[in-house]
Amino acid sequence: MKSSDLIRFSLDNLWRTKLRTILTTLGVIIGIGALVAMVSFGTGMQRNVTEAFTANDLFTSIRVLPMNMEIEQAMSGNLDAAISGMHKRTRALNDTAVALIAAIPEVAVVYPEISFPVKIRFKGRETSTTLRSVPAVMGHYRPYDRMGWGDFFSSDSAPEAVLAYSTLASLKIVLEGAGEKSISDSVRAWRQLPADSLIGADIEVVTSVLDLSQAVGGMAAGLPPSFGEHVTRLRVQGIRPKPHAFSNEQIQGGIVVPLATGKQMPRFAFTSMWNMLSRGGRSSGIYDALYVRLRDLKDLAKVRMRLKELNFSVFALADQLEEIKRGFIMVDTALGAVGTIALIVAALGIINTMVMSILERTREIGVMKAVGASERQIRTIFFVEAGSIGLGGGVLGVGLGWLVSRLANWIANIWVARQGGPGGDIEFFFLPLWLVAGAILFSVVVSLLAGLYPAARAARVNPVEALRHD
Amino acid sequence: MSPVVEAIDLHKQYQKGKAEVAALRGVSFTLAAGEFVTLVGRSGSGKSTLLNLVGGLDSASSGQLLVHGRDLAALDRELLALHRRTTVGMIFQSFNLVPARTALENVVLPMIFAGMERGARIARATALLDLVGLAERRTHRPAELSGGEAQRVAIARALANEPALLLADEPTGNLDSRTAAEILDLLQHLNRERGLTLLMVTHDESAAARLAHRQLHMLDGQIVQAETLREPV
Repeated sequence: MKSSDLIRFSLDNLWRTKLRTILTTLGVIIGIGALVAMVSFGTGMQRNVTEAFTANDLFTSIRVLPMNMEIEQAMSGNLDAAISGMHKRTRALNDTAVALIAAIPEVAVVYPEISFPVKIRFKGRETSTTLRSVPAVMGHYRPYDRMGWGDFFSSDSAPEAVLAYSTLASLKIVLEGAGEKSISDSVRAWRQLPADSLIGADIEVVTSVLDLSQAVGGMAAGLPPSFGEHVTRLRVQGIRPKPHAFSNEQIQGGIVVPLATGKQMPRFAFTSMWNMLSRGGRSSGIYDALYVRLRDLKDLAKVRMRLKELNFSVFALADQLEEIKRGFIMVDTALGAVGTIALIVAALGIINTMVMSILERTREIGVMKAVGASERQIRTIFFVEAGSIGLGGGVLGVGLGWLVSRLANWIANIWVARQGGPGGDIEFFFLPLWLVAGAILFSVVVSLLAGLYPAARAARVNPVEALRHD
Repeated sequence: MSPVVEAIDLHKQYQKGKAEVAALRGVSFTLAAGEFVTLVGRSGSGKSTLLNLVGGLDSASSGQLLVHGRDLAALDRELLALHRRTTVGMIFQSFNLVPARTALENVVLPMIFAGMERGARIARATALLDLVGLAERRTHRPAELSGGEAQRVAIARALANEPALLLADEPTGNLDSRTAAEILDLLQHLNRERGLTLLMVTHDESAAARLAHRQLHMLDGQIVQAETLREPV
């Protein structure tokens, strides 16, 4: 029997009992649809979270902290252990430490984390944000390797700055052609500007400084210490791209300046205050933390070990990555299980349909055997019938799952927007090719399994009895 | 010339509820190529059982059954299916056409299982329907055919894979006498003109006597009498 005949023969048989075939297939469609919608939601969430993490460059970097922060202990609620760890003395985070870490071959970049709150004035607007200074070499690494408009700064001491996309929003500036919805007339405060007019424009960075001349006298007079403002003029060199919906680009600084430029800015940094107290006033040249970027994530364990040998305290989020992945596998499994239950119900429907079909077609099976059909041919015909239901149901089920996910995504975005979130274009669902192929394959396999018993039963029909059958 | 069928001491028992029924009790006979032989006898005498054994629909409990020199008892299920597909053609009292398929599709059926090319089998099925005089009715379904027409379709189907042996189980049992005579004439024509060997179970001893070369009388699972009526041409 030729395969083309086999397929035509089986489809003919299915078409003869249209209603029953359609109802049975509908069961499979719903089962696969549920499975696809559920798993694509799980996959979508996983992708959103990991992409946000990757975009923020949280996996390939290590933070070297000033004290023995037993973060895992603290996170698991074991505060005593966390606090006792804090008293262990670690190496001071100064330029010597930077040089020491830079000498580790697996380390690509190391620089002190210098970030502090600033006010910025730009295009007649003002807002508060966090300034972060990074070396110019970071222009080659995530997350600074991709710019939305303009360039990364040219040197470590250039009077330049790079703005985060969301900083523009807090300045109430909308970029022309950035894919944002046009501003309605009611929001007059917003300005729509072309990107060209922002790149190369001046920006003022305002830092708070302790006014020493007034402070001494003022404190003597019982007045609170007074703060003055220091203005640094920089040029906007670039604007970072529009961030992923789930990531917070402000972590990487609302305004990013070259390392030396940032170091030179006079400021009263609150974070340094803590250092001053805890380190007995030896604060000069001591950094809050060091940022270490690896050449390759797989060197993490090695570098971490080396840093510990050098008596540094280390925190790497990549350690949490496995934990996060395991969590998502569990979520996906749970979501997949719900879909699988629906599919099992559908499989029972297939078995029922096929067994009914055999009872109805007993005589026909007898005739087919009498004219020379072998047991294997009969079995294959029923197998192909079951597989066709699975294939049809699988393909249409994936379509249904996709439709459901689109609808749910649309509703979810409206809801998020109403809650004041970054609504409009968040993708909660992700339907990768492997899920499409996997769901269809799964549907076919389950249907074939459901067809095993009916097919074997059909093949075993005794032709003599079947021909006597009414 | 070796016989087409050679049965030696065939026995067949089967379970009917708790009782064991002996349907055949030592049947021996031969069927020469080109012969037209009828099996007559009362209901339950074992005629149909014997026909089903020769047709490969059932297997004997003991004894030897050689068709073209090959012992059917030695064939596995695949080979038995091949025997049904190519060596024998069977027709039945109740026609046993597939109701959902047209006359042409019913005739094509055995050729599909034989793996014949689509074009070739449609041409052959059309020719066979023409042979049995139903060229005009090939797109009709069994429900739209008269009894005689349905049996002609069944005959065309039995000839699909060019078997040397045609087995007929009461082919005229459901037909009026005129139609029955036409079917018998068709069978005789196939026997005479095409050299088809024919083994036919029938109640109608007179008709059988009119056409057959030999008549085997069965009673209680045995052949009790074999009469030669005329010599094959």
